[in-house]
Amino acid sequence: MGVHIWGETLEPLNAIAHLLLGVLLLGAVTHHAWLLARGNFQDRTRQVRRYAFWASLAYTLCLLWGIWVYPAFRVYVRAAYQDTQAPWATGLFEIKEHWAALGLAVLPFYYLSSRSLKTLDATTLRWHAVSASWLAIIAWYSFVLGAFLMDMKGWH
Amino acid sequence: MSKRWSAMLYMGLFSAAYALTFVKGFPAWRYFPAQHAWGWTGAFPEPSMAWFWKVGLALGAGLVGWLAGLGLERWRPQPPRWIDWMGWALFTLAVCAAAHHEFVKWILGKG
Repeated sequence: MGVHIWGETLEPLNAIAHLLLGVLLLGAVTHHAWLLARGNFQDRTRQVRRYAFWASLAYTLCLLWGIWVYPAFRVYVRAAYQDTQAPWATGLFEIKEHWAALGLAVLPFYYLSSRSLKTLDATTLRWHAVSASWLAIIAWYSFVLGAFLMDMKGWH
Repeated sequence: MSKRWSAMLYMGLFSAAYALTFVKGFPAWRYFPAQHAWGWTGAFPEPSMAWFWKVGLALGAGLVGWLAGLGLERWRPQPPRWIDWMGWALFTLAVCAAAHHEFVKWILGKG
């Protein structure tokens, strides 16, 4: 297209950083979800706090790196290839970007509720479990789809 | 739990603002990188960065909710249950609206 797209110079490095932050995020949300699924997380509040801290940090950084990667992806991969050759992939990617953004809506509740687990009533504990589950779903969907689409076309 | 008012109002307003951008005719202020220009939907054929607009709008609305929550916390330390339900309902609605919108547009090809 003959123009310089913001972030394209460091695109390969940024894509790898985005991927590695995704791995960190998956580790944190999956461990957290596993503790919740086992049902004894109130005895392991330190672990829950630790996982929630790392998940929140990794989520924010991963999204920021996604924002950095996005313009070049949007022009060179999505517009130049996916929209015309594989519109279904564009649809799945669009859902990923919306869900990743909407994860920001849940993040403060998720983090703050993890800091005071021992004092939460039963209803709020359930909402905490819901927030952790949503973040795990968003993280897994985003990671698997992102890896699949990278494999499908790659960068440049 | 501290800042519960803020967390729930932020969640609700963030989700509502994000979901509103899927409503047909909602103002879509967009960036077009090839022209290094801002414009409205359909102003240029080149790829746009409308997602940044959506996230920015939602963060702005969420920030308003957060600040309102700080004020309400002084009046009543914990929000009523319906505030929780409203926040989660709006979030779930936004998640479903996003998936439905993109599924119909790109996978069914009816956008």
